[in-house]
Amino acid sequence: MVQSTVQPGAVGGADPSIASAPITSEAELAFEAGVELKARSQWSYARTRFFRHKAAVVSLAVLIFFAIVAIFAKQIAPYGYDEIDLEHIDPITGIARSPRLDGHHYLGTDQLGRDYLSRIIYGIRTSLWVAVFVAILATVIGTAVGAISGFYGGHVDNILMRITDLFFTVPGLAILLVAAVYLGSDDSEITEINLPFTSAAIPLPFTIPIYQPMKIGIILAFLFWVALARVVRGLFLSLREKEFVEAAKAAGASDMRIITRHILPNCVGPIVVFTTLIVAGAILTEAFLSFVGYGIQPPNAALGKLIVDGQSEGFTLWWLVVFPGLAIFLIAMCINFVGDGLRDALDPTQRRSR
Amino acid sequence: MAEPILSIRDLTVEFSTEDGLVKAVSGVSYDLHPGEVLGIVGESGSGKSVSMLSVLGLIPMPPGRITSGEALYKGTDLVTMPKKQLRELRGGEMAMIFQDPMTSLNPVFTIGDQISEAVLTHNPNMKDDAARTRTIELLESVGVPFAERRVDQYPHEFSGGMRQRAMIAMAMANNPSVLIADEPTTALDVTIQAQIVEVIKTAQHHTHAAIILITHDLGLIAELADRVVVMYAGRVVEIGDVFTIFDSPRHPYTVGLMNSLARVDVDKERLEPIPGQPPSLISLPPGCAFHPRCVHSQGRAVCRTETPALRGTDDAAPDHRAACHFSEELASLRSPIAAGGG
Amino acid sequence: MLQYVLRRLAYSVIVLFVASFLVFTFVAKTGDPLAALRLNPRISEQSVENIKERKHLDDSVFVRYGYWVNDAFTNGFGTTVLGDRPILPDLWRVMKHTLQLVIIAELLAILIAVGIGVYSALRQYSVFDYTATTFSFMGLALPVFWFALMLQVGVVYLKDWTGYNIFPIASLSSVDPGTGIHFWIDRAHHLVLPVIVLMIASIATYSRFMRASMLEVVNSDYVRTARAKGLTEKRVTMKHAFRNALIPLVTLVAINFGALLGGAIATEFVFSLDGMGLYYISALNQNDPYPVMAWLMVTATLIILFNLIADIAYGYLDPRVRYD
Repeated sequence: MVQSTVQPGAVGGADPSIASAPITSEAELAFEAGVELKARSQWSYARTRFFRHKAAVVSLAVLIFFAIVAIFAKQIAPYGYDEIDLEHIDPITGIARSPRLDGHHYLGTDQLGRDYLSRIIYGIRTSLWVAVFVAILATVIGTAVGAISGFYGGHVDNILMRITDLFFTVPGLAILLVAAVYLGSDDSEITEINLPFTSAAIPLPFTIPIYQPMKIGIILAFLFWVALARVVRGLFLSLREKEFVEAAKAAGASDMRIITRHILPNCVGPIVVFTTLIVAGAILTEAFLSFVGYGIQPPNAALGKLIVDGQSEGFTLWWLVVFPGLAIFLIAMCINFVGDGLRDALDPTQRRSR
Repeated sequence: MAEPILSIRDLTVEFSTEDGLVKAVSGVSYDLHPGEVLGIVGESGSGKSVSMLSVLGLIPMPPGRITSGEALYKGTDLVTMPKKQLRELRGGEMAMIFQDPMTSLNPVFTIGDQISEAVLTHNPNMKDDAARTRTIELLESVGVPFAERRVDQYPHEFSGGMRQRAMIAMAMANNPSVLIADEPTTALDVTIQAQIVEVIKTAQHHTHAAIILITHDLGLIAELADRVVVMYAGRVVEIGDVFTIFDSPRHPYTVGLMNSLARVDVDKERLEPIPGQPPSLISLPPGCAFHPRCVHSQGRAVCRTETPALRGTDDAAPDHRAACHFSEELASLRSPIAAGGG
Repeated sequence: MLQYVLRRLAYSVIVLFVASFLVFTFVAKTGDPLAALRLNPRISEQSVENIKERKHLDDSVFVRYGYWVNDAFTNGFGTTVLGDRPILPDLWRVMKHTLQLVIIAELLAILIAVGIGVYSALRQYSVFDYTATTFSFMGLALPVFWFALMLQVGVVYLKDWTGYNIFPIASLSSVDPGTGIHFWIDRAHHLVLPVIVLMIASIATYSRFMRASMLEVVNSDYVRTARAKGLTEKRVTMKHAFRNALIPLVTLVAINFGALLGGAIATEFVFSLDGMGLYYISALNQNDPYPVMAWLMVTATLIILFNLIADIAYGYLDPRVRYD
């Protein structure tokens, strides 16, 4: 529908108009009819579309709230993560307190008397930053692999795709668990580079510390990059056939330049949306890993760990299992809504889902 | 002339969209006589397709609405007709073919299946094998070779031209009195286009159906049409028989269209497009919708304030009408508007 | 067609070998299944050494892999390092249980999701549509294991208040389930909660997809043609739109199968169901590569077969796709 681009002296020749495409939605009909496009930048247009999406806006606000709480956890949390409060214990059970509003322990305490609100806050902090780390890492790797695969095609594509195939033949969670069990249980340092399948190693002149939560993050990213690579590959496969790529090549642009400056900007929309999905997925997956004992290890906080710790008494001390899960649920849901709003904002040709 | 078989009177169709109310069709009137080919010409967004789709009930009615007007088919108003009755007309007495035969045919059913469906829907008592025979007959009549074998093939196994022939066969299945062809050749190669034109001509010759030919291709109009309706921004701006329209157009838009054609017989150094952009159907310009692009108006006030009505022209042609305040002035212009700086 | 299937299978075998080798190397090198034994003062060093010898734990990775492959084909995946339990019978047993859970959950999920998706599409922007979409979002954000826990807690509290024990919250069967039909009724009773948990994510995903697919199809040209032919709205929807909208779902179900098994792991763990999920986690806990590998191979084979079936079904449904 070329109507929407500005063409001086549009109508001409034996073809006074562009062929009408079938009408498929009321918005397209409006375009068909030649709705005037105000001259605005692409971003302000995207912003407007995003803010029309009420659920996404509210979710974004909630997420920002969580992020602030997470960043300033030390200042906000009323108690330390491991701080045992023996003053305000429950008179009957002796230790754990149910949630109450009297100024202490809004979410109750656990079996050892530790304030649950604080524990959850620290847990949220860990979850959020691990999830963001995973998303960034997975996005970078996935985009790079997908771009190269899709752009160059041929053997490179073949090999890379076979590798990703491996990831699809086994349930991701299973591989994750294996990796988490065998690799991710403690802090480690890289002092040398191990050559695979042998016992030889190249010693490094310096030591790279890798903290345990970061390990979990790396392992998770290892799982999530694959799907994104497929998506990006698909995008590149279709975009590299477009005329603007040919034009750029004719103008002498190098491959790298074409990839980064021409094709990639057109993929930003779907990539961003997918990244939000990765964040949500990472949070949920990490929670499960901690739940079965292979995720983030103490002394670092983890929401999944909180749940599993409280599981045995979950039937009487219900808040032990309800609140951490509720936090996970809420965050994941908000991320999904924001992702949906982003999808609407950045890819207006797609049908709105709400 | 005989009684019109289809009479559109004052039709207005609107769409409520996020950006506002789109007036796709505003007060459109034209007649279709039995056995004639009526061409409707216009750009995208002129309302040429919407006017027909809406009276047939093919426009989704939540965003779309026929706000006024009537469409008299053999005396009965289609707009107020009960849905069931309208449905019986569709595919039966009033059939339609669409622009892109690849997407207009269901990919998971065979061609034969889909044509038979058209036959059986309107002849519920017919037996399946009778329908199949009829289907093969139809395919043969539109020039599909080896029809007996091809009837069991899928749309993707047909070439573009063949698919369009199949669509025509499907439309003619129940001997319609009115055939509406919406851009039938636009998606096809030029050589195939010529073939399809022949197919349509043959079909009309056999069934004496009246045809509404919706297109932007003036060449097609010249070949097939008896009369022409020119639409712009949802309104009819000129009506007349095809020779008059081509020879002595009386609306600046039509003049512009004719002038923009590449001509073999006239020496031209450059093509002459109509300057400017089609207007937004949400906020139409006041007065004459064409005035912002009209070289001829020269900024005269009445063009900007009053919407011109369709009125008879000064020439001898009967039923030639144009919606321009100054259509008489166009008579004196025998040469292209280039002189005015097109 | 046969050529295609054979080619796919051959290719899959290669993939399986490569994958198994990589995983085996990884698992074998980094875990020490005898760690727990070593810590146990009652077991002599010599015993530990004996086990090491017998299980070839000291040999190079390639050799060990060779033994494993041999075991996999001839000896039912061999035996566990600790206790020498044959793996295959155990695996077989838990696989049957898991398949019960997964197949029921998936079939129900597809039925429900298709219904919701189609209805949402036909009544776009209606209250039903908005509600369904919201529930989809919620379903996708729900941590599976937590939801399982919540259901358990809920049932227990319900029992406290009303005295009724609606659904069992753990294990596959009661202590004495009886035989024949009684056994199966008891089994079904136990499976209700796990099936509900497992269904949620699938329903959320499939219903959204179905809705989108249906919307796309309903606004397509060929549906317009069908209407222009004079077909009733019902026929247009059911015969022309629905069939076309359903086709892509086949691919989605196939792709989702891996994730479904992942969800099963979590569900079985919480509900203490004697299925593959629990088996896998305990194998991991013991640091024993043999059951882990066996599990991965069996699962991978299942997924590959399932995908192959899905592809063939797709080719059957969509005549534009032909395999040769």
